[in-house]
Amino acid sequence: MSEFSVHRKDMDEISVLNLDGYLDAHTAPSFEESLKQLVDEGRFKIIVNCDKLAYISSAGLGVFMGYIEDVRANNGDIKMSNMSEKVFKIFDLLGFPSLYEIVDEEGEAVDKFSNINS
Amino acid sequence: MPEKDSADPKSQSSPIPTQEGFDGLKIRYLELTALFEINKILNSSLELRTILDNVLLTPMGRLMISKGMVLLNDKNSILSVKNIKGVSTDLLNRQFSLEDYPQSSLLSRDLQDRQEPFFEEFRKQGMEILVPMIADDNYLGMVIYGEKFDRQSFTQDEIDFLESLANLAAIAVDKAVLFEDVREANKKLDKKIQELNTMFEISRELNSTLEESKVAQILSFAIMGEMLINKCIILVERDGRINLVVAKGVQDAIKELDYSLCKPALLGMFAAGQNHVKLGDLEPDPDHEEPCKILREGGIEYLIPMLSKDRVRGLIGIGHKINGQEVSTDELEFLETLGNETMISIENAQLVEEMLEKQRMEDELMIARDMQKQLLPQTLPDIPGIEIIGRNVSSREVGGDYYDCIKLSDHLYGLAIADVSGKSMPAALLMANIQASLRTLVLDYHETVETVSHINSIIYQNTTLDKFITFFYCILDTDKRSIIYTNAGHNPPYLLHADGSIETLEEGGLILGMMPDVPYQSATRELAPGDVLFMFTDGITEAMNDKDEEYGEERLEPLLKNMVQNPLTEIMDGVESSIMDFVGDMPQTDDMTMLAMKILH
Repeated sequence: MSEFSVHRKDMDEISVLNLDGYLDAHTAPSFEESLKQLVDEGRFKIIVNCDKLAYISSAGLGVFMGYIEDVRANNGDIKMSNMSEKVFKIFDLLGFPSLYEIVDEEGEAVDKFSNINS
Repeated sequence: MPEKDSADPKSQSSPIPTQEGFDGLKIRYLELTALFEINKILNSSLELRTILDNVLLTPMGRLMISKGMVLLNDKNSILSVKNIKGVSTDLLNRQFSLEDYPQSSLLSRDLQDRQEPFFEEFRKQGMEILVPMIADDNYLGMVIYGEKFDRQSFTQDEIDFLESLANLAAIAVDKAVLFEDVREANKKLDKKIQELNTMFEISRELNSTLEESKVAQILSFAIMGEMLINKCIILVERDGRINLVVAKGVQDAIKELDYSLCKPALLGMFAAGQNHVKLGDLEPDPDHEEPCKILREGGIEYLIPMLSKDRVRGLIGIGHKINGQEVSTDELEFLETLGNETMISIENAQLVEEMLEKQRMEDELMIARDMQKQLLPQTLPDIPGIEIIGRNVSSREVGGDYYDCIKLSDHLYGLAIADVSGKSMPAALLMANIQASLRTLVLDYHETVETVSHINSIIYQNTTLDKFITFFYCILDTDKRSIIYTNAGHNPPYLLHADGSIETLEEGGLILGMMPDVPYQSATRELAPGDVLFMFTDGITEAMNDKDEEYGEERLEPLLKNMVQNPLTEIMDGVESSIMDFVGDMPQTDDMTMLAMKILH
């Protein structure tokens, strides 16, 4: 069975989800649960840090799709950071960079959220 | 037009260099250096954009030209504008076709007579020279430049320079286009591989998942990620109706739709071999207009059937792609394959769920049957001068029939028969309840009304209203040779007298467990040698044959009358075989229980 875990870190209005391991059809529900939790709590400024994400499949990407509209409708966003080249390639292949903001470092994403606020 | 630069080319190749010729050589040298440099750049780049930029910008800088553009030829010999400098960006990607393609460079004055749109545009944009790009007889396209800043016409040297540059560029463009094709093909291949990976992953995951809803969840995630979609529903047929198993990102109206009504409409709207329906393009049809309207307004654009054995058993519904692109034929085929694959898994999951449910019920029945068997007395007490026999034929579904015979004192015996509502485990549990109550209470009360009243309040307190028990309890006094009984709604037992007369024992009250504090009555009967008390449950009288007829009291009563003289075992056997003859092969749904005693002397 593939290993996957999500660790959440809250900073003021922003929440960071650190993904660790393999995000595939099998583990997608666990990631969905984390995103749903944030949305239910009304936390819409979300950064997904992919530093430790070893692999993502279409089903994993599907989880992002399910929440983006809701999050943006609430003046929030889902931004992604710290992606390995291998993981980025899959995001790129399916056209995610045109829809989602993908930055090199988590800090950049935080700045982008903060700049909107000021 | 000034003739200053129209030097005779022959004079430049003259062996004795004049000052003028020397200057020409110097320019020539500079041009060659430029060509060499640009060749290096062109050959080191596989980026079409870089190459085209250089083809335009180098001469523009060197010869002070203010505008230019590059057109490339596609496979269908259509020229499209691929790079522009100094002209309106509207021109980018504009397409032109020509009757014949210029094979050598041409100046605007050579093109005055050509009327095709391309040349009109050429003149409109103030272009001055056209240079074809040809590599190995392959017509790649053309570069066109505007006038020089000083409005001087191009010298032959300059034209030579532009032609050389175009030739060099042609080779580089050829390579770059090829490279771009390969890169495009690679990207397509990568996308296909990704699709295959998804298929593979899904089928692996599907095979290890045996829950219908989880299977559908996985499918929806894969579709949304693969196709950049955030509205997705999955409908699956089950037990003759369709259920909405997944609804992501869609309006509530879709979730609230009564799908039990739209099964034929939604599953039947696909022609054979049709792998999708675009809701927006659907012809109005009263059969499926209503649900389709709700789906479309709720955000669904396409419906894709999920087939199993050529039958539509489910539907995938998807919304638009978030990046604004149209859903492609490739993607619809991908969905079709994925949907059919998933349908097989869902069907397997349904089968397994049904099997497990059946197995669970089967197990429960076994336990219930065992329980029932253990709750019934293994042996009945020996009573001097009295013969007593109990029989229980358990049905497949295990009803809750119960009988008992308990010795209360040296001359008192309690006899009970009961039928518990329901089947299987719940019935067996209730039966255990009444057995425990009875066995406890009979020792304290040597009287039927008290016992039955107490049992009634215990059952009432411990069960819901839909659970009840019909119960008959009597105490046999061997000294007085009499019985006192209370009948709580049970099928009235028969008291058969040796003279052939028969009476039913009905005195008592309401069935157990319906109401607290119900008053119960009792009645007493004297017994004579040869008398038979025959107690039974409704499984006997309601035994059913294949004509939907019940065995009924009208068959039981005369039979008992006829046999009253016989030994008790024969009476029991007689009733049993009469019922068996009556029902034939019809499987019975209820237990059949009899408890009977005969006064021997």
